Amino acid sequence: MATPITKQHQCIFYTVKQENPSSQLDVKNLFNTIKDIDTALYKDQKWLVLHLPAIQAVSPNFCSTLCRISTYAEQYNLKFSIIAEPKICNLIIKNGIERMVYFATSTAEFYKNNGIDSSVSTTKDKALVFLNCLLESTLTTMKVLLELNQIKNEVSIITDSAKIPNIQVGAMAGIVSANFKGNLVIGFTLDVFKNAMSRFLQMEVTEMTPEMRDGAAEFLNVIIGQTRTKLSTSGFVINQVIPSVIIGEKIEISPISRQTFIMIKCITDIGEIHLFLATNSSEDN
Amino acid sequence: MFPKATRILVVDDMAAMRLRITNQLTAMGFVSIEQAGNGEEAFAMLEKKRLENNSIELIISDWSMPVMTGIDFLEKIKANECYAKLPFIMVTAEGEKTKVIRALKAGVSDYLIKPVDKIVLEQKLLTIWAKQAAS
Repeated sequence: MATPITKQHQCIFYTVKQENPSSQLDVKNLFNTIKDIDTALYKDQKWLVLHLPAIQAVSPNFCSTLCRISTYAEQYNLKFSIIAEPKICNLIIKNGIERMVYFATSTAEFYKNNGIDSSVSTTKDKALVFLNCLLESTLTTMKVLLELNQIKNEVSIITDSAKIPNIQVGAMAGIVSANFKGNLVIGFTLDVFKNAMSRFLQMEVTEMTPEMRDGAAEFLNVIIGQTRTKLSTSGFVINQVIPSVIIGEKIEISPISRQTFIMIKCITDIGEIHLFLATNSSEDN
Repeated sequence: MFPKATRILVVDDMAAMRLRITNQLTAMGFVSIEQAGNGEEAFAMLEKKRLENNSIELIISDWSMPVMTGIDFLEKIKANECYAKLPFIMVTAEGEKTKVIRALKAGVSDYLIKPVDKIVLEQKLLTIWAKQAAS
């Protein structure tokens, strides 16, 4: 069962894809995963949407889980919606929980029924969609490539270069889309980078070799690749310029006055890893 | 599962990624792993190994590479009867549908999206081996 969580148009989408139609849904896991979503993800959201595109049957146990999810959503002032095929919606309704749930048979119908403008129209909206995808991709990439157990992201807008931490190894890539242009930089201290490479290569790394230098660029490549894939499902295309690796004793990364400069600090069990995103100001677009 | 003596060719322009996949394969017990930095180098390696009677038996290749991309390399080997049946796993940073479809049409055995996890790689190898054994 794949369970990606995405955030769009003030809605948190939780998609359950039942890969094997004859298998049973792990309802306990379903509720626990929803319950465990970082509460920061609920902030400023209006809907919790459970998308069940491939569900073939509904058990009483599953309906009781839906009741619990609905009650949970209520605690966070979220409306709860289920998107599923008509026969599945009917089965859920027959189990008596229609009072608490908004049903739809497709994402488009859900948006239409509930008066949600699903078009990502402004540059600011698109930049936000990009930033959310970037955050999710960073999390996934670091967890898998670096086998991290703990990772917490902190996002801040930087106006003062004095607040930018010391970077000794980094990679930088240009990003171009129809609505904004920018640069993405990943930065490490030398010790954190060696730790990261030890996890990445599954061998102890004590010195910088050409393979190690490549590693910083590869992290960035994978993060951007993941972001591009996630964005392509929202009809949003970005192009990437091949990354360059930067190594130095004290690399200074500074915002220029016309750019929005965002820093994502990833606090992990091997130390802090930083991502910097510099984009044009909206007046340029 | 593929025998541990299977001769594997890992193709990626990023040395770090080649080393990661090589280390993952070594940890699985594979002992004969060659590396190449792009499709052209990889094709030359295939030819060299074949002439030495030491032919490569499995390819794991990145998609985006300079000189010759992974998809061009795949199409080239599928057009060559010496290598047409070689199992080929494509690795890419993106999971765009159009790319997956193009690779499947070109005859790729399986597809991996970065970041590649060792367990996922092992699972793919098991699946390909099972398919080969069945055919």
